[in-house]
Amino acid sequence: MVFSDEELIKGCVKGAAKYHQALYEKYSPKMYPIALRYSKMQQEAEDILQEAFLKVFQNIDNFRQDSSLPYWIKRIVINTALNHQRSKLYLFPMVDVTDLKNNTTKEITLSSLSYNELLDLIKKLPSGCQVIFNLYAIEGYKHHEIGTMLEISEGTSKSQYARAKSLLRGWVEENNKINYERAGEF
Amino acid sequence: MSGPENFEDEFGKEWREAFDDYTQTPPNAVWENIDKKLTYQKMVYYKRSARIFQYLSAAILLLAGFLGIYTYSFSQNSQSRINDFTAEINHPIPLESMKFGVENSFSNLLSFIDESDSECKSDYVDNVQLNHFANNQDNNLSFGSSGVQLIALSNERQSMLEMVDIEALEGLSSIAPNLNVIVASNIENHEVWKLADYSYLSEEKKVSDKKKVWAGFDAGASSFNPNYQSAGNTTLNNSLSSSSFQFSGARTDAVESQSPQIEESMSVGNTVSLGLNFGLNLSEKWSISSGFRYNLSEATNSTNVIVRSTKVQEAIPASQEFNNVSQVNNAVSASTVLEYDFQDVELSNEFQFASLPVKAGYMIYNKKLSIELNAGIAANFYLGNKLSSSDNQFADVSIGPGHQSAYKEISFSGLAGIQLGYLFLEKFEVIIQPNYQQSINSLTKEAAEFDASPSGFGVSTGLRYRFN
Repeated sequence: MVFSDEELIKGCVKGAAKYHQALYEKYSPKMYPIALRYSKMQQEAEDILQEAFLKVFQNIDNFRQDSSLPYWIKRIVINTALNHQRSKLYLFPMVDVTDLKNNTTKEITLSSLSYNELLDLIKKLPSGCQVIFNLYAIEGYKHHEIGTMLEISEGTSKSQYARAKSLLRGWVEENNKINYERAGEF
Repeated sequence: MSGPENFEDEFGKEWREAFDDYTQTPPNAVWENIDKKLTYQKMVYYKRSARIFQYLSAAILLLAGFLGIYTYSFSQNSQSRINDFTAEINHPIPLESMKFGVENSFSNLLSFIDESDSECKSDYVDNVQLNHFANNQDNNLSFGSSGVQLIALSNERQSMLEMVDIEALEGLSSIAPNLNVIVASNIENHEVWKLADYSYLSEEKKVSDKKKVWAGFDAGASSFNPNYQSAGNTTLNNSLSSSSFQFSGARTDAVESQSPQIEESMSVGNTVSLGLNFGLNLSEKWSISSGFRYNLSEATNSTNVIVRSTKVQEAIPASQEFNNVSQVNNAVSASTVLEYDFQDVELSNEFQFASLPVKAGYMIYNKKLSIELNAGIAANFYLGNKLSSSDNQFADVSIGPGHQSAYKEISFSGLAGIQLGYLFLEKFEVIIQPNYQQSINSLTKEAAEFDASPSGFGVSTGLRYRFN
C-alpha cells in the first residue's frame, strides 16, 4: 500500500511500525546512492543510511513541513554522512592546493560511463575532495556554506574542489581513451 | 542548499545530471537493523514509564490496603464493645446502679442517633431534664442546628423513637462524646437508662503507652532523575584535559579545522537503597528520626564522540566527566590518539552514595495503625561512580571522590514522605513509606562543565523495634 507523505508523517509520529517501514521503503532507494557517494565502502554507506533513518524516525515529530519530506530526509542523510567523515577529515588535512594541472579547456563526456563507474571515480578521490565535490557539484552548496559546515575556509573548499575536478577529468579522459582503444580493437 | 547558482560550472552540472534521480535499493540487512533498534528504543521507553507507574500503583495499593484494614479494624472493635456490654431490654437496669464515678447531676449518659448523618452520639444528661423531655408529648419541638436527635425507646412488646432537640436540653456538656453507651428504656414511662462503656479508655491508654524510642532497618526503590544540564556544546579540546592531549596544537601535521563538538546528556534511571534508622517520639504527635543509608543510583549517559588510541584496546567515549581522570589521561595522549569518531554511545552511569538523613515527623493518626507526615534533610556523601557499556568495544571508567571527579564529596537534599505503620506484638512495627527527595544543591563541582541536581519519587519498607 502506498501512503502519502502526510500519512507517513502522522503514522511515524504515532510510532506505528508499518509507517516506519513504508517511509523507509519509499525513500531509501533515493537516499542510498547519496550515502554511497559520501563513503569509501558499501558497509560504511549502509551504516550512514541506517543511522540517518533512525534520526528521521526519532525527530519526525519536529518536522515543521517548511520543506518537503524527501528534502528533509536528504539533509539528514548528508549531515550523517558528514559526521561520519568529519573525524577522518582531521587526519587528512585539507589545505589550499596550488599545484593543479589545468585541463579546463578540454571537453569531457560522462555519457560513456555507467553510474557505478562514476561512483567508483568519486570514491577514488581523497576524502576531503570527495566530500567537497559531492557538496558543491552534486548537492549544489556554495563554497562559503561548505566552509561553515566543515569548519574550513572558503579558499580551502575552492581549492579542494578544483583538485577533485582535475583528478576526475584525468580519470574520465583515461577511461574514455581506454574505451576508444578497446572499440578500435573490435 | 543553493541550487542553480552552481550551474555555471558545466563540469559539476554534468555530474549532477548523471546522478540525478538515480535510485538503488539498499540491502535488506539495513532495514532489519533499523527495525531492531526501533523495537529496542520502544522497549526502553515503556520499561522506564512502567517503573513510575509501578511505584505509584504500589503506593496506592498499600495506602488502600492500610485504609481498608483500619476501617475494618475500627468497625470490628466498636461492635465488640457493644456486644460485650449490651443491656437486656426486657430487664432494664436501675439508674442507681449505673453511676460510674461521674457528677451526681450528670450521671446519665444518653445515646441517641443523629438522623442527619446516622451517627451514634453520646452526651451526659441530668436525670430531671431527661425525664422532662422524654415525657414531653409536644410535637412542636424546635430543633437546633445540631440536627434531629432520636432516642430509642423499647420493651419486649414494642419500640419507638422519640425526637429530642439536643440544644433544648439545658446544662448538657459533651464530656466524653466518644464513649459508647448502650441504652435500655421503658417505653411506657418514657424513661431511658444507659450503661457507660469505658473500655475504649483502656485501649487509648494502651496506645498512649506506645514505646518512645525505636530502631530499625528498611529497603527502598525510587526513580533517579539527574536533572542534567550541560554548559553547552563543548569542544573535544576543552573536555579531554587541557594538558594531556591538545590534539590540534601538539600534532605536527596540524589541521585547520576546529575540534569536534561533544553533545552529552544524562537520562532518568532508578535508585535502590538500604538503611538503618532510629527515632524518638518527642510527644504524642511529634517525633524525630535519623539513621544511615546506602544508595546505589543508575542513570544513562549519552555522548557522540569516541576516542581510539594505541594504548587502550577499547574505544573511550568522550565525556565531560573525564576532565581530570588520570585513567583516561594516561591512556589517551597526543602521540597515541588514532582517531576521533562521531558515534552515538550510551553508557550506564552507576553512582554510590552514603547519606545521613534527619527528619521530623507529625502523627496524623496514632493507634495500632499510624499515619505520619515527615520531612527533613539528608547529607549525601559521594563514594564514586562508574561508566560502563554493554558493548565490549568501549572501555569502562571508574571514578572515585577527589580531584579527579566532577562530583562534590558532600551534597544535600530535602526529604518528604508519608509513613504508614502497623504495630504488632506490642514492640514491632512494620513501616511503608512513599517519599520524595530533591537535591538542594548541585552534585557537581563549580568547575565542572555540567550540572546535576537529582530528584526522585520512591517507596521504602522496613521493620522497627520499640524500646522502653
